[in-house]
Amino acid sequence: MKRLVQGNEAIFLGAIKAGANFFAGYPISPSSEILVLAAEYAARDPGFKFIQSEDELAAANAIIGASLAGAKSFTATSGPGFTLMQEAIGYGHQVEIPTVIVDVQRVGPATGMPTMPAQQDIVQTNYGSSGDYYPLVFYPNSVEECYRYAAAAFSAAEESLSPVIVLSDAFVGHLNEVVDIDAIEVEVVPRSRPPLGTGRRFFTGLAHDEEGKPRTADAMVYREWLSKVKARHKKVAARYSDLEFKENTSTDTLLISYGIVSRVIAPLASEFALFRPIRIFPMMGVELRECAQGYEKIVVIEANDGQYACLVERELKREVIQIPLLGGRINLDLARKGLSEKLERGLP
Amino acid sequence: MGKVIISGEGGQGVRVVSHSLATLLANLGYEVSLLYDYDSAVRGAMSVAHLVFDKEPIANPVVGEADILLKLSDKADGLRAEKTVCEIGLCTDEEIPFGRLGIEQFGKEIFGNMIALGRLMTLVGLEVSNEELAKVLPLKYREENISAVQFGSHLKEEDLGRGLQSRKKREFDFVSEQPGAIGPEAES
Repeated sequence: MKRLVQGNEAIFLGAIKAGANFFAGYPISPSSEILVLAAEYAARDPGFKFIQSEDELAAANAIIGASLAGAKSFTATSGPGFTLMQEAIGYGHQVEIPTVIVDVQRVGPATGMPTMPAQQDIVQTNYGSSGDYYPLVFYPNSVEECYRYAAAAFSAAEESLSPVIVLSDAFVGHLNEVVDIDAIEVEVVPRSRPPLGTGRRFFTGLAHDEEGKPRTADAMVYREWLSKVKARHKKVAARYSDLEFKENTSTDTLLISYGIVSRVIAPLASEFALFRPIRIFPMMGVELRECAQGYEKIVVIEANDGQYACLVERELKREVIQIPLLGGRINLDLARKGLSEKLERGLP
Repeated sequence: MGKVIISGEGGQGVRVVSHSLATLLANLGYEVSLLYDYDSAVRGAMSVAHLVFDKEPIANPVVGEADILLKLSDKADGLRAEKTVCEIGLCTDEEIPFGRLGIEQFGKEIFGNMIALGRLMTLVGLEVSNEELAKVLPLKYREENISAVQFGSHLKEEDLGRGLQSRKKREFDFVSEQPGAIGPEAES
């Protein structure tokens, strides 16, 4: 049945559809609705476990522990909480833990503007923790996609054996749209590794061999492990190469955006070509290069000060024009103003 | 396509009014997007709802210039609309003493937001039964809320004396195929 559904609610329902049965979190705007829904759901369904933890460090470690114990686990937070979770995220990559972290972004740094939308955790999803790791990150831009990619994140987590990130923002999280949740088909990948006590016995954040035993000075073992993990993530990422490309042969300019900004600038499709990554990381280099071919100017419009633009520039090895929408103001007028200043007047 | 902005401050009922209107439109089969833009203070700070409805999927849910702006306070800056309906003293387009009417007609100022919802429903050409209203309005004070919405939806200029100064009749760029559901603005 079609009904008005909120983005945060759709993320929660997508998680449930994927088989999630454990949530730990600490309330923070603009993600708190997910925590509240999880608490309510746990009260109704004894098979679903819920912890409101003392902080985000505990929440991130709780979902890792729950995953080790056999649960499909997740948490939801925003920028400052996501920062606190980075140590656990790195641990999750080292120990190869399937779990899902939802980051509903707001203006930062730190407490910043708690209810205002931003896209300022883009780089943090990729480089927030220590060491080399290859996170899968989805960034939906509608309520339907919130449901679809929350479910996909759980499947990708099982396939990649890693913490998978779902990015959102205050506008997408609090966006209500009419959807028929039950009519959205999603593929659910079952739990992939045996629960604690029935399979591998050792788990450590140290570099380790295939049995999980520490190998802290063996470069060969480490390289083989990292190579295997990298290849696995690349293979899984290829299964989720979801993007939106609206070609426009009447223009020499390609606009790149994601999340709420891609919705806001959608009316510009008649004037420009549009590219939107949905699986935003790992970067879709091949697809991006193919779509960018034939366009003289590449413009990235985003609600941060050029975080994704810099990565696009590195990927395309071309100069990219940046249009930052900052301070929680994200609208078409500002995007048009930025385009006018950068494309017509040539302002830096 | 119809675009509505509802602007007020925390505690005035911007969310209740906007979500009720959005749900009524969704129940009639329209594509609807409703997005909240608000400050973090629970009471007294800026609270704005962007509501778009259409027969086609909605691309941009962030409203630039609205067809109708309902302004219950002046906390938010830079909002633009073809027509503004406001609490007395907040605009020069259509002023309605929502708070005063809430007290006079229903005993509490807060019912002014339901009167405003009724006025908005008339402006977007939305007529619904009490039964349909009962499905979407808050449980608390439901009967009073329904009465206040119906009061607001039947406001006439002569009822208000000063304050209701509609500049012109405006029409949306579509007409409902369902008579009585959505259509041109009702006479005010």
